[in-house]
Amino acid sequence: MVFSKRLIKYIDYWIILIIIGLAMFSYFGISSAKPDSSYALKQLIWYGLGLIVLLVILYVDNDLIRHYAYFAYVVGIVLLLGLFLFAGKTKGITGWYNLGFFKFQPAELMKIFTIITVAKYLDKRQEKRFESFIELFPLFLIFGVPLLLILIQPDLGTALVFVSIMLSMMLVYGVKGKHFAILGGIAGLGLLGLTLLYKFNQELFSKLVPPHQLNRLVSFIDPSKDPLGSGYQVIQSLIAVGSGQLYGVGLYQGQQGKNNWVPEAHTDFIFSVIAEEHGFIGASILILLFFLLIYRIVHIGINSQDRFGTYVAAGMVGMFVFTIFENVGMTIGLMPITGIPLPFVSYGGSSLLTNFISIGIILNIGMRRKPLMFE
Amino acid sequence: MRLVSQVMVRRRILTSLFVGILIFTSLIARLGYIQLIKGNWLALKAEDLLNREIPVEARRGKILDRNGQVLAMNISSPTVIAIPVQIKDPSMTAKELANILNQSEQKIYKLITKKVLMVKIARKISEEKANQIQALRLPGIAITEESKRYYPEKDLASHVLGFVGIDNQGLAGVEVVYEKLLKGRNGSITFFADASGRKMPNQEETYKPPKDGYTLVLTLDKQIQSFLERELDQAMLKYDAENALAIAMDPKTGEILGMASRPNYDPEHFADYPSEVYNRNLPIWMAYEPGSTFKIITLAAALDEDVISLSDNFYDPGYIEVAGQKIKCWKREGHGSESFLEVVENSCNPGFVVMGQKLGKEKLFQYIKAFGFGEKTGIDLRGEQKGILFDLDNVGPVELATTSFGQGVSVTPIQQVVAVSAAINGGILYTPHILKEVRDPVTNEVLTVIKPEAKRRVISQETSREVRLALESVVAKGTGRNAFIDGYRVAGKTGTAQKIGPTGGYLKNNYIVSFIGLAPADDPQIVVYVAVDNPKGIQFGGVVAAPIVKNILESTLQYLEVAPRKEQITKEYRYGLDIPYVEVPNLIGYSKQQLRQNLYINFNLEIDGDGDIVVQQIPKPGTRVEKGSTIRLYFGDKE
Repeated sequence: MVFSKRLIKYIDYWIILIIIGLAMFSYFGISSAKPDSSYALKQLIWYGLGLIVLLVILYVDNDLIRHYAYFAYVVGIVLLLGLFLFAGKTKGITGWYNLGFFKFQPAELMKIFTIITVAKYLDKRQEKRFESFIELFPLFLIFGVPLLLILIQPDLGTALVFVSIMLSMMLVYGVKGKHFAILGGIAGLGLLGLTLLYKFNQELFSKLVPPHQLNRLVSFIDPSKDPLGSGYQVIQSLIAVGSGQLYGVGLYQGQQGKNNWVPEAHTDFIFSVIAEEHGFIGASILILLFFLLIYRIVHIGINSQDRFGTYVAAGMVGMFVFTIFENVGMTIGLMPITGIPLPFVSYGGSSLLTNFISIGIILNIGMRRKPLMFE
Repeated sequence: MRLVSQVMVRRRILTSLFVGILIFTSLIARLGYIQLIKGNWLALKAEDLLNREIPVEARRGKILDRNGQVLAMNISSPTVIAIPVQIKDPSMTAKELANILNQSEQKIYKLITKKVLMVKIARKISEEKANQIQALRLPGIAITEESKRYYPEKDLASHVLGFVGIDNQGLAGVEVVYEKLLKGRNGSITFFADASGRKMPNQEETYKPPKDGYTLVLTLDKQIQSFLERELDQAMLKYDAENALAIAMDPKTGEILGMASRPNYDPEHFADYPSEVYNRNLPIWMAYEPGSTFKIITLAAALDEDVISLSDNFYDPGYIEVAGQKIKCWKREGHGSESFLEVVENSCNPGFVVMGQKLGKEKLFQYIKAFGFGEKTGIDLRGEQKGILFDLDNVGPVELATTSFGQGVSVTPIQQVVAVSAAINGGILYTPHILKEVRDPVTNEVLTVIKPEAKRRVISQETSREVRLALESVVAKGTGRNAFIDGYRVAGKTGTAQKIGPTGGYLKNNYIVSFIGLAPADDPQIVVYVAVDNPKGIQFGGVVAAPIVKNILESTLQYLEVAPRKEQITKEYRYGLDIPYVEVPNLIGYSKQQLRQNLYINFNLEIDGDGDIVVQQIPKPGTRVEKGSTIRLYFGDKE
């Protein structure tokens, strides 16, 4: 029995407290955005399920996770491939299995599977540095396959999360600056290629980049260009956030979300609702909570007994930081609009469960730290 | 070695924490910028999105005459509105509407595809067109009622009442002067709407009731006004004049009883007329040389200063020499020896020049100014002119002489009416006014009464009495005899002024002829001024304007039930020019035989009915009528 009272003592209760805080934001946010629906209640049920999943993961030995990493990775790839065979389009994206009672998004799980797979791969390399850029190829392959499968769904937002995870883990492993530069150069060339393609072969371009993605980019640069079309969401979200001012309009007093001015107010744009009702103070507290969560994950990463744990923590940090930045950023016009939810706050079972699994794995790493040093 | 690298890994994860700090700080900074700096503006934008306000129109106040007769009111008139979200087939809808409304299809299409809650397509259309549209039953198109200003008397007093624009905003006349009182305050139904324009549930809608405009009671008397209008219409026809105008005022209060201007317009269709027609309320706008009517002022000043007496003698050779210049009397051969009363009766220019000379320029101009010339009277209408007087420094003997008989000054009709009223009402100058009362639109309770506003005393009671008598004499014996009404003691003065052309010189054969009359001379109830601009043919105030004033006074005095007077200055008859008045004898009870025996050469007899004996006659016995009038006799059987 690995799970003992001693281990429970080392659970990072800060993280538990932070999640309770996020749960409150989530509940009030969703019930404000959709006052006439059962979404808020359902979210609480998902929270309950998430906690069970979390406990189950805490129960599992760390090594077991590491052991089944590659297997999980393969299962994830199969699930992603299966989407193209069995799943229909939801909001133009082939990203969800419809299981009737809930929509399952394999890309969410795949983030975790990829993190542990890369962590295992890097851990195996010990501290052997990547001397040449070619040596990084296995890493690119592990990231590249799911990234490509998600990109063609097409779900740019989630794909970018993968890039962020990759960069974070590479940074922590100590990949040379030179190699980062080369990677940047390749990305730059890719963008240049797309631009040229847009100029000279729009037909092929629109196959690679769906028009709505392009519109989102255009309206990110200038939302007022088409205020009732693609720029509509940004403008409405800005109005909601702005009218919150310092103290907010008050709980359940917000108008932009519940009257459908801000679209997807209970999922992707829940931050607008919170910022409108609770103002700069409330929204800052929420961002601070996220920052504390990141800090605790980094803390666990630093104190991890092995490199695997540190790499996983690094991947998680990359995942959460980018997701939060992208989601909050798009509601305040700092980032283009993509369809990724705010961790622990947006309504949605698939995303919530993934987040609980991630936190479960982190807590698991955290509670098996120091004791070993004194054994 | 392994431990060290573990430390390295830890250090590097800290780097990612710093990246995190950087990113989160940027989020908070941006959030602060939007919420704290741009917040106010964005909050206002949010209000705009949510607040849907449907205005509830306040009813514009009614305008009544002094007896409560309606001069301006509101009627509802159909307006086509569209609710764009409910329109199923915009192009078909636009086509159908364009057909009926005679408007461009494209314009309507644009309107009904706007992303708004509601849009007005056509306002205040005819009932017939509204019915046609209603019959189409187009989804998203509805007919509502908007109130429209309605003037039941059409063009009656149009220049005084003015008119309103499409939004019922006052644009001219009383409608614009008292816009604030008439307008009221619009109410509204406010509700919150969601993104698709639907009313939001669980949100209370607030109803702010409109406050209707006040009812305005004017000093105008619809009946007297209609007398003025009737007479001006006839004068325009008869003399083919350029313009004509009339004012009736109560001399003891300054209340305007009637005010009319020709050419005229219909306030509901003001846009169909040239702007100079509806913009120029001639009685207050037109400034011109008054001519002889101005002599009343000189007379009043001279009597008040005691420089002459009406019984003093004067000799008129037909001209007077002033500073080496001969100023002619209108009667070339002169009036000869006459009293100053006769100077007034004859409107003898040299006599008035002498009055002016005796007063001196300072005194004369002091009186002219005291009578209100050279300044606006302050009537509650727009567009009033103040006229032009000589600058006292530039007044030499010639200017003093011409001013004395009404040349070389420019005055408005309203100034003359107000000044003459002061001269005959006992000496008090009043501010003329149109508004009499402000009433509550619902309870009709009187909220404000506009009281007569006395500006100053100009002449003494006694002088005023003398002026009245002199003016009565003018009508009974002098140049104003065409205004004589038997039994009503009409007093008055004629005026004939040559018009000044655009280059400054006098125009040939182009006169403004006028008459100012008042009655009864012992206790004036009304002052009436009429001016006809450039009448064709006859060009004398006594011939053109005096009969008009006479007709107005006659109708008005009867309407006001002013008791006929017994003592009056009897009219002097000039055969060929005037017809004497005679008393109607009592013919009741006469047989036809008896009538034949008595030759009633003074009358025409008209006989009606079968029978042998006169049982009824019109006019009644004792009535004074012009010689040669017709008497109707009704014959019946003896009882």
